[in-house]
Amino acid sequence: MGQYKSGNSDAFSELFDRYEKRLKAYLKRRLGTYGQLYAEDIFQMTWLKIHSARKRFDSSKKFSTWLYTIALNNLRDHLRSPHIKSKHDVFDENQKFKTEEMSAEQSLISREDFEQVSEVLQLLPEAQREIVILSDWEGFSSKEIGDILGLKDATVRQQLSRSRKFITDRLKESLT
Amino acid sequence: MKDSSTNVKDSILLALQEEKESGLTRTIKIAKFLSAVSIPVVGLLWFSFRGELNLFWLVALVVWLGIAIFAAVSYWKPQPRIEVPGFWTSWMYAKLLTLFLLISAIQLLICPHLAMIEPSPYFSVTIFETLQTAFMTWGGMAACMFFCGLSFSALATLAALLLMRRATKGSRSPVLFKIAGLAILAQLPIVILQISDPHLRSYFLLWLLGSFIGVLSIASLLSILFKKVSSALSQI
Repeated sequence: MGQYKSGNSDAFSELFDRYEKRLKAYLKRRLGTYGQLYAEDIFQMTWLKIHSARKRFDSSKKFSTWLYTIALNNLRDHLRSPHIKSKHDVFDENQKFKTEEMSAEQSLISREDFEQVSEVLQLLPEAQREIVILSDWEGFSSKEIGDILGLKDATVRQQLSRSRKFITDRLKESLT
Repeated sequence: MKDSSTNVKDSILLALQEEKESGLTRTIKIAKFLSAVSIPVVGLLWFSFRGELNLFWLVALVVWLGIAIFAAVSYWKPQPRIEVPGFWTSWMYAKLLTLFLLISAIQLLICPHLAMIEPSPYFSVTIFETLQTAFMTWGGMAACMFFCGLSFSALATLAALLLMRRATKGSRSPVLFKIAGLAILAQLPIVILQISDPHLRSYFLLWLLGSFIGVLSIASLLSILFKKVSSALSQI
């Protein structure tokens, strides 16, 4: 990132290639099936904002945390628009994750289990769902999630623990 | 066709390359842009007056050129040149400002009321004389100035935002107000000339108000319309 800040094209290309698929998959997962088109727009806007703000980047912090903070802010702006909000709420009820985006996760759990987890995840409040996705899908630590969402580390851990317990209980209920 | 990731990546790579360009290269680009926009307009006005140019016209022309330089510099500032919905950068504003400037020059040349300014390089276009008569009958000079400002600016906005429809989609209020602000900025040379004329002096605020309302309403309408269309298409 230091080299990209000073205008190195190769450094930018490397960063872009490293996060391209991951960020796209994250945005598509967050927007669900209806929002694939918007996911592309938010992806582009995130990189343009990264580029225009790159000189203000604090090098003591992780690039991925900064990238996701910007992406999440764009996502929130998008979801805040009344037209989109009503649509997103409707889709939230029955939203299924696009399974072709999840090859890595699918290799670990069966498609049926994956869909069950996804369905339970939709029952969580928006804020808790965000924390679970950032932690268990994107692999961020609780401190990093705190930085991205502007929450205290302890709050993130507490919310994460509650959300996981909620998911486990619901899955157990569905098995019995 | 390239996908969207390649587009955004390429545009950022190009911007990084532009950052490394020398000041001279950028100045040449700015000069080329400026000549392409201003030589026809300034040349035409200069030719029409043939030595009758007064101080007000000279000031108006200098202001027009100053705004054109500002547009050219903003256009060639190193930056990714890609249109993303709701994300406006200075090159896009520069494109809009250039178009508004060209429209303000056309207004100067063909608006029957601005022909009252002495000396005037008025080129008669029949349709505008008919419009002028209609506006004057309906509400006098005030209505004519208001609706002339409104209709020209609305048409310019419609043309510009149709060309830049991807960026216009879902643009929010701050962007829409900036666009209207640019339209007003481009009207400055006309306002200078209106102030110079005793008949038009008391109506220039109506002209500006008409322009502002024209731009704002068309920009808001298109922003919502493009968003709705894109949303509908994504459902198919």
